[in-house]
Order: sequence, then structure tokens, then C-alpha cells
Amino acid sequence: MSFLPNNATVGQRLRAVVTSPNSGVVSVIVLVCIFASIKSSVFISVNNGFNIASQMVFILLLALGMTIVLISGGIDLSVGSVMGLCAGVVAKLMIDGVPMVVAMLLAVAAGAGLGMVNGLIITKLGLPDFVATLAMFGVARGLLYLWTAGTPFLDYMTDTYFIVGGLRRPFGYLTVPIIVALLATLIVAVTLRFTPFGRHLYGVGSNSHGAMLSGVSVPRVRLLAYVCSGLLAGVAGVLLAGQTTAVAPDLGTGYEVYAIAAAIIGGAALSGGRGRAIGAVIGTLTLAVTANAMNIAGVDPTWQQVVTGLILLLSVILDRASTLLRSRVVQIPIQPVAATTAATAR
Amino acid sequence: MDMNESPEAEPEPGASRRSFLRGAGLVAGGLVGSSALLSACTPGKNKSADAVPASAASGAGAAGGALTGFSAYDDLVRTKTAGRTIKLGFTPTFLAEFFTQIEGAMFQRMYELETAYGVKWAYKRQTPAQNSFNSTQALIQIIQNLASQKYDALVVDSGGDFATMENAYRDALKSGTKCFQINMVPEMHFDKEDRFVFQSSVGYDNKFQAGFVVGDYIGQTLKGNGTVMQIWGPPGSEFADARQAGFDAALAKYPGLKVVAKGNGQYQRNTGFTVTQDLLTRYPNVNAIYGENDDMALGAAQAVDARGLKHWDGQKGVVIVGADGLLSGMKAIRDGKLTASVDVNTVDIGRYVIDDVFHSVVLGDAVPKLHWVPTRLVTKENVDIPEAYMKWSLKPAKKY
Repeated sequence: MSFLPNNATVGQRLRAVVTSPNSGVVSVIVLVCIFASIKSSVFISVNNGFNIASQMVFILLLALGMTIVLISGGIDLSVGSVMGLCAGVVAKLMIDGVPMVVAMLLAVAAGAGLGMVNGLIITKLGLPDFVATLAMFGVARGLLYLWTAGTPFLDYMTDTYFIVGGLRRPFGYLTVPIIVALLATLIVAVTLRFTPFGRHLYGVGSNSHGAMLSGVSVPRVRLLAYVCSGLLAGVAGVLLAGQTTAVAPDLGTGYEVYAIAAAIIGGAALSGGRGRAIGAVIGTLTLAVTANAMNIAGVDPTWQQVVTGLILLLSVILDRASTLLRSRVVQIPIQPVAATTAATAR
Repeated sequence: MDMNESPEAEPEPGASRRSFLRGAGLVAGGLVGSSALLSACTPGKNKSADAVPASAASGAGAAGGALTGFSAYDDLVRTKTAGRTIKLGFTPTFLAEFFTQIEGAMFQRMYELETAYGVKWAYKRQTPAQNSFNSTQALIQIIQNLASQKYDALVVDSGGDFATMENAYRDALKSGTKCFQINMVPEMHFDKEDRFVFQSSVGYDNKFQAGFVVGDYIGQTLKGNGTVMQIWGPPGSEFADARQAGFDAALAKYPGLKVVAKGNGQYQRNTGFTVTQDLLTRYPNVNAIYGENDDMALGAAQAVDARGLKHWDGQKGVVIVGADGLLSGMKAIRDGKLTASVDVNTVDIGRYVIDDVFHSVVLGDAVPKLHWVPTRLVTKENVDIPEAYMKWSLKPAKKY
């Protein structure tokens, strides 16, 4: 850790590693990797590394948005549906002859717009985050069903879109979705760490009353958090439509659960005020590596669901343990986990 | 394979209504199940596919399915049905291409029977709210509501548990509503056959008309030797279990074929893609991939592309087989994205279930509890006929 003195002992350094945020989760990833590489040597290969990276993209983009919302003390259950609907927007517009770039921008704008609707319902009408985004979860999905009339959008792919969707790789192993996800992570990390909006997010999430008293516009910060989440879901939708080459009405179903799981594994708290961009990456990596390892190791699909659930539990328990340890070592108080200011109660 | 040889005719684009309906007559008349229906309905009557309308003045302008063109018979049926309005409900689990095709085929058949015998249809489709947390419960509520509105017949498709649905059908029957289920898996419940409550279950045998067919095709294509990867539906799906049983039965004939991996593709394209990507890392030399539905098979095909592997070209490459019988799947076969797919025959599912409703509700006949439609393994060589048949179902002569 950066606050260690230069003359720190080995023991101090070791302790710093064990108590650093996400150390528990990282140890789970390492364990899974060891297990998988014993079962099959191909697990540790450049090719598989990029498989995992390309599989992480969509959940990572949603998890970044989810992390922002969670930090602000909210939760966004609509991201999977919004991602699916935005994929539908870009596909349908391209079928109707709208140029690709315009269609993509409109789809991302649609995502941001739906996020803004979420935010407005929450801040202006005062509905709980859970309820408002649950409604959007249903509305966005239902709209896609109505719009497609159950039949997938097809025949919108162009040569460029194959590259955008990552199905063609002009830059070696790196695909456009991976590059976009890297950029998004960087932007979110910088925003959270170095901008007033980032600081306000943490303030609003951990103590909204205090933030308000110090002059932060709490509704505006929360609204912006949902816009970010919707926008990232829009970006994910644009990329996903390029990867699936067809937009089925159920596209993106269940992704909100993965996004929440990834954010939580990465250390974001449902009670708000906590979470980092790198945490979203680590959380998503945990999910992707676990699924990839189990597929390669040949774990029965029936067991995969159980194992994924247990890994989630283990990651969070280890995270709590390292937080506890840190509080003893560095003497900082533990963040309240089940604080009474839970998002849903506001 | 004899599955491929179901003789069918398609209406030519722009054909007159009569030739169009005659085409329909050929379609239905050529199918085994429909022939059985014909004989059940019209014992000993002349049923030439070329029969002309017996009485154009009375509106009988068709020569399809249960229609004979023999006025003595047709008039008797018309007397029995004329003026009768059948209240018919259709409750698919969700809106999907699959059900759109089935509904279109139902409309075609309803129109044929209406034109021939004057039977009227009061039709309503109702689907549970999307992604409701428990769509089976929502579906059962719909069945209850329609039964309380005294619907004559309901065509039900559900992902619900067999016993749960049987209870719903029993309650509906108490209100006088007969339930006909489609596209479900009664073959996994033969032990309960004497207690089946549904009037008929129209669909196909997932074991021997789907799973087995694919296993046999892969065995023949690879000449009995090679490795196979399965991209499968989620654990607990009866479809997945039944198809697995049939697939295993076929594979028993080919000891040289070995299943090396099985992944859960959750019936979704993107998951099918990622799971196949993972499995190809370990088994890059796999010879065949069986995706349990078209979406997963197409995801698998993309993973094969992404890894730079070649699709089956008749000699070498990866054989990729799906199943569904969707127009989008036929296009994928035509475009060379899928090697083959099992067409589970949405069109006949729609037509047969309307026949069953007509026979059971209007004529009071006993209909078969298990009503299988022909399925076929579609490849580039024989894609034309099933594709045209599906296109026909999507352009119903009348929408209800």
C-alpha cells in the first residue's frame, strides 16, 4: 500500500497485502486458476486469457455503471433490459438504413435517456431506487418484446460492425469491445477518484444529509449516477448487438444479476459510499474466470450454478474478513454493512 | 433419413386463392398425421387433393385438410357447425418467433375451416407479463380467467411443471373449457398417461424426433467417428433431458462417436457463444457441436468462426447442428452458418391443434392425447420446402 513507509518490514508488507481491498477476492481467483490449470493445461494460455477478457466486456460495462449507482446509495435493476433495448435500437435503426455511427450514438443516447428516467423517478417522485428500476426492468424488456413482436432483429450486420462487435480482430488479440471496456474502466476510475462528481458520489452514498449540508446537490448527483449506468448499458448494448449478430427479445436477460454480483464481489456496498472501478474489474473477472474454469475443467452444468453462488459468497466473506483485519491493523472503523440507510429505505 | 421426405407443397407467390388453398390441401393431405385425421373425419369419402369446391355459392371454397369437396358430407358438417362461434384462447409463455409461426399456422387452419364449414372463431391471445418472476403462476391465472369467461378451448404452451399444468387444465375443464397443449414434453410422463387431463398434446417426441435425429445425422455425417460437444439448455429443462435421452440412444449406434464436453448455454445465443469459446479452448479439434436450440447453435458457430476454425464443407470442418424450426434458422442454414437444424414443424403444430379443437369441440370426436407432428432434419440441400412452409404460416389468409 502506498502509505507504507519505505523501511517497512516484510511482515508489514505482507499484512498490507492481506488487508488491502479485494485481496480476498483475488485469492479466490488465484485458487480457481490453480484448480483449472491442474485440470487442463490450456487454461493458462494467451488465447484463453483473451477469451476471458472478451467474455468480461458486457458484464464489466454494466458493473461499472452499477458500481457508480451503488456508491451513490442506489441500485439499478434495469441494466440488463436497457442493454437489450439499446441493442434493439441500434439493430432496428441500421435495418432501416440509418448510418452505423448515428445508430450507435442514438442507442447510447437512448440508454442514457432511460437512465435519466430512472433517476428522475427516483429523485423527483421520491420512489425507492429498487422500485423505480424494477419498473424500468419490466418496461424496457416489454418494449423490446413488443417492438420485435417476438421475432429477432436480423440482417443489420456490416463489415465494420463485425469489428465493433469483436467478431473480427483487426488488432491481433485485442478486440474493439475489450478496448472500449478498458477505456470505460479508465474513465470511471478517474471520474471516481479525481473529479468533484466522484467525491460527491461517495459523499451522497455514505452520508447524504451531510453531503447536502455541505452544499452538494444530492438529487443531481443521484440522477447523474443513473445516467452513467444507463449510458454504459447503452454502450454494452451496441457492442452486444455486434457480437450476437441478432437481437432476440430476451437479449441481456439476467445480466443485471451478474452486474450486481460483480460490483458486490468487487467491494461495492449495497449501503452506499463504497466501491471502486478496479473492484468492478476484479468482480467481473471473478465471475468470468470461474465460469471459464468450470467449462474447461468439465464441471457438470448442474453444479456450475451452485459453485458460482458459493464463489460469490466466499468472495464477499473474504472481503469482509480483510476489511475486519484492516480495521484492526490500520485502526480505521469498518464501514457499516447493513446500515439503516439502505438504498431501498430512502 | 425418412424424416426428410415428408412430401409437402408450397403455395407459389401470387397464386390465386383456389390454387393457394389447393396447395394447402396438398400440404395437409401429404402428411401422415393429417391423413389419419382425414380418414377419421371422412370415412370412405373421396378426398382427392384436386377436389373442387362443392358449392361456391355457400362459401366452401377449399379442398384442404378435413375438407372433402363432397357436398353430401360437407353439407352435413356445415349443418352441425353453421352459426357456431368457438371461443378460442392462445396462451404462449412469451412472445417469440416460434409462437408467431404457430399462431400464423393456426390462423391458416381456422380460416380454412371457417371457409369450408362456416364455423366462426372468437380468438384471443394472452401472454404473461414478460419476465414476471413466476410466469407459470401468471399463465395459470390467464387460464383461470379465460375459463371463467367460458372459453370453449385454450391452446396452452407453458414452461410449467407437468403436474401443475394438469391441475390448471382440470380446473378449466370444470368451467367447460377444454385445454389443448402444444410444444410440451408429455413423452417424459408416459407413466401418467391414464390420468392426462389435457385434450391433446400437439408437438413432437423430443427423444426420437429431435435428439435421436441429430445423433443419427452427426453419426452418418462423420461416418461414425469423431468428437462431439453439446451446448445444452439449463439443467432441469424437460426438453433438454428428453433430447439427451434420444441423442444418447442414437450415439449408442456409433461407438466411435464420443461426447467430450457439455456446456450450459441457457438457450441464449450469447451464452452459447461464451460457453463454446471456453470449451473450444480445451477441445479445439472437435468434429461436431450439437446446440440444443438454434440460438445456442448459432452462438457456437460464432465461436467456431472467432477461433478461426472452418465449418463443415461436406468433407471436413466442424458440423454444427441446432434445433427449432424458425425462419431465422432456415436462413442461417442457407447462409452456411449452421450445418443443419431440426425443424420441429411449428406450422403443423398450429394446424393440428386447430384440427383437434374442431374435432373435439365442434364434432365431439375423441382426439389423440399425444399428437405428434412430423419433424425433419434440415440442411442446405432440403431447406427450401420447410422454409416456404414457414413463410406461408407467417402470411395468414385472415388474422383473428
